[in-house]
Amino acid sequence: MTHAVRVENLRVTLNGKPVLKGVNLSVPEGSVTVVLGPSGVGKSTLLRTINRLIDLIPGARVEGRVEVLGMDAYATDPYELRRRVGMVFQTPNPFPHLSIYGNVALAAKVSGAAKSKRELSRIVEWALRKAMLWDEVKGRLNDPPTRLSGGQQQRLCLARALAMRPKVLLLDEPTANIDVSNTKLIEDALRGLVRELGMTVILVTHMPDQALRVGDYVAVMYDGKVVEFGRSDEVSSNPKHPFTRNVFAGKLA
Amino acid sequence: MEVDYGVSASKVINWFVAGITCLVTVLGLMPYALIVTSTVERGVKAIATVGILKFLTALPPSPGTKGLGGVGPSLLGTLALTALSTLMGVPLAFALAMLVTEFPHNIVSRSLRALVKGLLELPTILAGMVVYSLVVIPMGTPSIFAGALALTVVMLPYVTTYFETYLGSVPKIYREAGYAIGLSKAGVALRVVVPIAKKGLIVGVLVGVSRALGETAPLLFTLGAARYYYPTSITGPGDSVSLLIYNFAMMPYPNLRAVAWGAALVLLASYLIVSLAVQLCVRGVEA
Repeated sequence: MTHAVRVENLRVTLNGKPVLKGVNLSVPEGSVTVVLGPSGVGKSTLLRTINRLIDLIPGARVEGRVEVLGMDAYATDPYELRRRVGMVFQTPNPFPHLSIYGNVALAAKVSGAAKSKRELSRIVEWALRKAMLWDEVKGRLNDPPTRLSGGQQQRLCLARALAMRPKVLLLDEPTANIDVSNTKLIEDALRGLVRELGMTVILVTHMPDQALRVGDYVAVMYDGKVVEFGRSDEVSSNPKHPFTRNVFAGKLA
Repeated sequence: MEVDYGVSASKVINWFVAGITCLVTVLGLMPYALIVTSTVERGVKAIATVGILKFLTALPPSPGTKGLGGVGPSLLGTLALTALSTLMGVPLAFALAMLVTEFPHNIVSRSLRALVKGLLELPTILAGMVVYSLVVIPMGTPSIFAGALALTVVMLPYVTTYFETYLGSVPKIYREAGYAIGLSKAGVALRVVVPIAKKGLIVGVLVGVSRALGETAPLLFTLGAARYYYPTSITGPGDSVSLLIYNFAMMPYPNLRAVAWGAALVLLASYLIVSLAVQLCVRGVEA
C-alpha cells in the first residue's frame, strides 16, 4: 500500500507549549482517513503541518518529518506544496470580494491548472459539480458568495480547493458549523472524490459517527499523539485504547 | 397583581441625570452650532456680494483698497497642495501600513508602528519648521512643493493608522484561505487583503485629504502666502485658503475680513463634501 502522507515523530510546540508530542501517521492513498479526537488535542495543528499553514503561526516550532506525495514537506517550497494540497476550514471562508465564479477561478489560476479562459470555466464548472453545488449556483455565478447559505458557502470552499486539482485534500471540521443536509452533501462529495478520482482525503472531526460514515481509516488522537489507527470498522468494533473505547461507546465526543 | 411604586427615589434621580445630560449636550454642541451659523451667515453675505464664480476665481483685495474680490489663487493653491500631498502621502502610508500588517512581529515594523503613533502627536508647526530648514532654505524660496511636503508629514501618520486599522481588521480566515490555495505572501496581500479592505482604504485616503484641506500651521513657513497672482509652478510660492483666512481675519480692514469669512465658508463646504464621501464609504465598510 502506498501512502500519500507520512508523518514521523512529529513534535510541534506553540510558544514553547507542546501540542503534538510525537505523532506517527501514514495515510493510505486514495482513501478517506479521519482524524478523530477531543477539542484541543492538536488535530488542526496536525493538518496545518501537512500543508505548512503552520508557518503562519508565530511561535510555532515543528520537529520531525512530514512527507507529502513523496516530497519532504519541510524541504519543499511551501507555496508549491500548498498548490498540491487543498484545504477546507472549519468556518466557511469564501473570499467576500470575489464572485462565486471568481472564488473557484482564482484557485484554478494560482495553481496553474487553467491555461485558457475556456479551460478555466470548464474547471470551475467541474469543481462546483464535484462539490455538489453546481445545480444551485449555475444561474448566478456572478453573485457574491455572501448571498449563499453557510452550508453552500462551505461547499463553495470545497470547490475552490478542488479547482487546484489537488491529490490530497485536508478538511478541518468542515461540517462543525453547518446543518445536517449540507453535512450529508459534503460527505457524499468526499466519498465521490475518493471513488472517482482516487483522491486522498484527510478529515478532522470530533464526531465519531462522522468518522464511521465517511472514513475508510480512523486515526484516534489523544494527548498530542495518534494512539490508534486502523480501518474505521475495525477500530470502532474492536477499540484498543481506553479513549477510543469511550468515544465509540458514546461516552465522549 | 399590579404594584404601584409611585415616584420612587430612583425615578427622580433618573430624570435628574437625563436632564443634566441633555443640558450638557446642548452646551457642548453650542460652539459648533455657532461656528457653522456665523460662518454661513457672514460667508454667504461676502460671497453673494461679488457672486460665487467671481469669489472662487478673482484675486483678493489689497489692504487699504475698497471692494471684496475673491480667493482664486488661494483656492487653486489648496487644490494643488491637497492633490500633491495626497499623491506623496498615500502611497507612502500604504507601503508603511502593508509592512506593519504583513510583518507584524518584525522589529522594524514594531519601531515603525511606535514612530507613527508618536508622529500623530507631533505639533504640526514642527512639520513646517523642519521642511523650512530642509527644503525652503536650500531652495531659496517657499513653494507649493515645500508646503505639500509639510502637509504630507502631517497627514502620513493619520492615513497610515487608518490603513493599518483596516488592513489589520481583515479576518485571519481569509488570509489562511489565500495561503491554502498557494498564493504567495504578496499574492495574499494584493489579491485578498487589499481588495477586502478596499472601502476602508478609501476612507483613509479621504481622511488624509480632509487634513490637507484645512491645515494651516505647516504652511506658515513653507508656502509663501503669494495670493495676488496665480501660481505658475509648484516650485514657486503659493497660498492656501486656510492661510488666507489666517492672515485676513487679523487685518484691520473690514473688506479683507469679509473675504476671510467667504473663504471659511468655501473651506467648510469642501469639508462637507469630503465627509459625505467618507460617510458613503463607511456605510459600505459596515455592510
